[in-house]
Amino acid sequence: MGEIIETAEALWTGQKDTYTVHPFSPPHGLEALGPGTWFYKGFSNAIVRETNEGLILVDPAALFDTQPKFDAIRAATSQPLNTAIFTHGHVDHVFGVGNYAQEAEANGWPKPRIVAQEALPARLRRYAATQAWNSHINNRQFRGGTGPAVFPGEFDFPDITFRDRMTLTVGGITAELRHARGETDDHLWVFFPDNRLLCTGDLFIWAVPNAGNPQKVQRYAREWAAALREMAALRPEILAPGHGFPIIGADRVSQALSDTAGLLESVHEQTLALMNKGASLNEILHAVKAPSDLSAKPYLQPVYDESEFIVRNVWRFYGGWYDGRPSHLKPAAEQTQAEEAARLAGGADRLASRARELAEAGRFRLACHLADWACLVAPDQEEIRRAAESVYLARAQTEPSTMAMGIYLSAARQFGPPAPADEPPVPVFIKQMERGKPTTAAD
Amino acid sequence: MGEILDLAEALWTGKTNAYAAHPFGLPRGIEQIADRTWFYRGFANTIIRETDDGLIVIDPAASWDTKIKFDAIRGVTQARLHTAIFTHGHTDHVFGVPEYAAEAKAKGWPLPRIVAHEAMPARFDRYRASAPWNAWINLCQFRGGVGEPLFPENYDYPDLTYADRTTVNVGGVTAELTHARGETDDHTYIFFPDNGLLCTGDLFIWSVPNAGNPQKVQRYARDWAKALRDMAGLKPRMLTPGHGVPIVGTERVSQALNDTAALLEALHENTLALMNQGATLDEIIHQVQAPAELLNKPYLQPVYDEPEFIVRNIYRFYGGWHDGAPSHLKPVADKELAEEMAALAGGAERLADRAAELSASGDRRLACHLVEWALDAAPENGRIKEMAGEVYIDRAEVETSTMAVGIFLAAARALGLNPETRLPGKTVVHVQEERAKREKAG
Repeated sequence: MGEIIETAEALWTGQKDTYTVHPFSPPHGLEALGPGTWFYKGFSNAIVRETNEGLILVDPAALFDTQPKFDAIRAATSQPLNTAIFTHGHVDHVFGVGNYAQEAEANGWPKPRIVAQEALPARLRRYAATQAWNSHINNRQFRGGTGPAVFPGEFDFPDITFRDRMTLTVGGITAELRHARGETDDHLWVFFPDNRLLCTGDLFIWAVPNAGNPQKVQRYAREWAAALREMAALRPEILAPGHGFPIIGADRVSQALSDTAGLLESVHEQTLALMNKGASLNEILHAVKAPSDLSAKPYLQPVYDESEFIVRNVWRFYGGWYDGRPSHLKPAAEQTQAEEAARLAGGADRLASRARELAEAGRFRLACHLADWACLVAPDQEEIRRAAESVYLARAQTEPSTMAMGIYLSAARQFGPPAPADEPPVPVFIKQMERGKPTTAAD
Repeated sequence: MGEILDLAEALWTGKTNAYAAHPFGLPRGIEQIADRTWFYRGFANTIIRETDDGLIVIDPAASWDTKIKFDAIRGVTQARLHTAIFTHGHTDHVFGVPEYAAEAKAKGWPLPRIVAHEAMPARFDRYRASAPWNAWINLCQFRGGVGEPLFPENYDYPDLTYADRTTVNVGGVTAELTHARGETDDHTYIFFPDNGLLCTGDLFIWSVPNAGNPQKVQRYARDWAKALRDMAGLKPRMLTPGHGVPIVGTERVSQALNDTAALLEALHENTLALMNQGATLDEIIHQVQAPAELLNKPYLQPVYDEPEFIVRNIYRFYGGWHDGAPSHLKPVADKELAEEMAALAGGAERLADRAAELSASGDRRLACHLVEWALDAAPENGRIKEMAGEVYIDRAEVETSTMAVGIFLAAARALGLNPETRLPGKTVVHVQEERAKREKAG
């Protein structure tokens, strides 16, 4: 066994956990999963299959690792790329075909083709229209506000698209492609009946599913769960996920898929039941809990996304943007609310010191509201900014997920002193791993 | 001209306005608008075309007016229903076919068929899963919280669906159906090339488009604007909307469609530009304004939905649910924040007094925040409840849109107040019309 399969085993058996080996983290590299089949564990993963007519490559590369992946794959196999499959349109999955296209041109091979679900082109066009927005939010999500996250404006569009399902046969190898809305509206999963390899894309990532992501577009918990059940029914032998490590053995694969479905179903059902009772969003957020037996699973830790955020996306799927609190329908500007809060408290400095006091008592949720307001009222008062910075730094240390830690580190960065120009950006998942599993539970 | 086309003329020329003659209001009834073509003006509208092989009926009825519409239509034509087209899956548009099916069975006619966009069945499935939720939000939206929450659980699913565009030919009449995401993901508009009639469904409703609706699922401002431009490109001679009255004449139709598109485009572009600059949702909703010259148009009043809400749906389309304020990511429970604010203010009653003061001086947005903190901090305090209810009624008095008036009236009623002494009217639309009459009089 290589390092990647060994890490997978250590994670499954609890010798390691995803707080210290985050699904997006090293070890990165290529390992064989079977004859003519390789898995590149990267920030996101690529899956390679040889056939008699060239390679099938699932998610060739991210925007930022096209060369290392190409080089690693070329060290293992020299077959031309026949077909690239994009599991979905996220920018850590849809790059890298350019390397193979150039190679094909230089060698006089046929140009590789790209297969994807039919909603993918509209996604890529939307990304081009919102390039700067996506740079801002990815900077918060992945870098905690430490550096300009580069978001692309140009993409390789698919040559072939399908709607619900497609059977692809290349050089004697058959791949069954199925569309399932889940992390995205354009998501597909791939099953190879011959070696029973399942490529889930991001429908499985060794974490609470990213069905909640605070800064990104609608996600689809219910359909996601149904897709996971459908995958489990195929009894795959190997699961190659979009992030994190492979799972080997039909029983383990089935368990991982079914448990993840169970988590999504539970959050979906609880949320919908409370909506049907007329609860407000705030009530629902504080009432819905993931089942504790599922929350204990090594592959269902909230290290990337978290259940509270999934509730938000279930609400958003069935409901409107209004949260059920009348003052929030057409709210006063935050600035106006902040000034009133400061007036009631006897000054912005009182709000800030109260925020510090609450944070020290572990009441971070409340502390952050007061800290935000204090900074809005007195944006130039150094002491107030420092108080807010310290509240957010402390909160970031208590938060289990990349999503929350990234946003709170960004807030700390925004309120704190300007970063030195030569400061290298540090990925949030590295900060999570340096910390390990949070000792103080988030309130 | 009949009463409905008279009203259309009065609205277009400014003799009345959409506040006094709300697009969902009266008069109701059927009127002939062209050869073998009728328009039933209801809460939602129905369009009827007679052909040599039976009727094409667009949006046959709402869930509650099937009999009235059926009888009115049978008062003008005896032709069998051949094809019903549902412009979209909202419950004020997709009922009434069983009346015709029963008639067909009784008379030995072929059963009518339903044509709609392919996304409609999934919408009906969703409605069935969330019927109580939808009953509750519609009670707020249309009735300000009065009465029993009701929402249908059974639907007539379409017999024939299509993806992008299709043509329906019945008895020599051709209807061109085009899909456009707009108010819904399953929306269709219909154009009849022979007589130049355009049936927009709810893509046009004599109001700021309902692209913002606070309580309902994602809407699609950009696609909607494009559809309006495409419709204008057809140079229709008459526009029959999903709500409100017809628009007659190529020039007027074109102007109404293009102005509505321009409003959506401006909101879309301004919102997206601010998102790309990294603004928070709070900054965006308080900065983006609809172009003033468009908001002067008689058919673009914020009488049903409003621009601020459209901004919300544009943000929601491109962005996440997080509004960019870090404390809102994982917010505190409402009650905990309220107790803190009450402690800072020196008691919940102080918060409520301050709210009343703010509301009286016109700062009604802020007043609502304060009164909710007071309520959550002291939920059993009768005086605070009453003050909060009055603050919500103050708010309902000045809000222009059905959406906002309905939600604030429902909030007041949930606290046990009866807003009718200050704002009489049985439904939200009625409240709005009565208010407009009082304002005109006084």
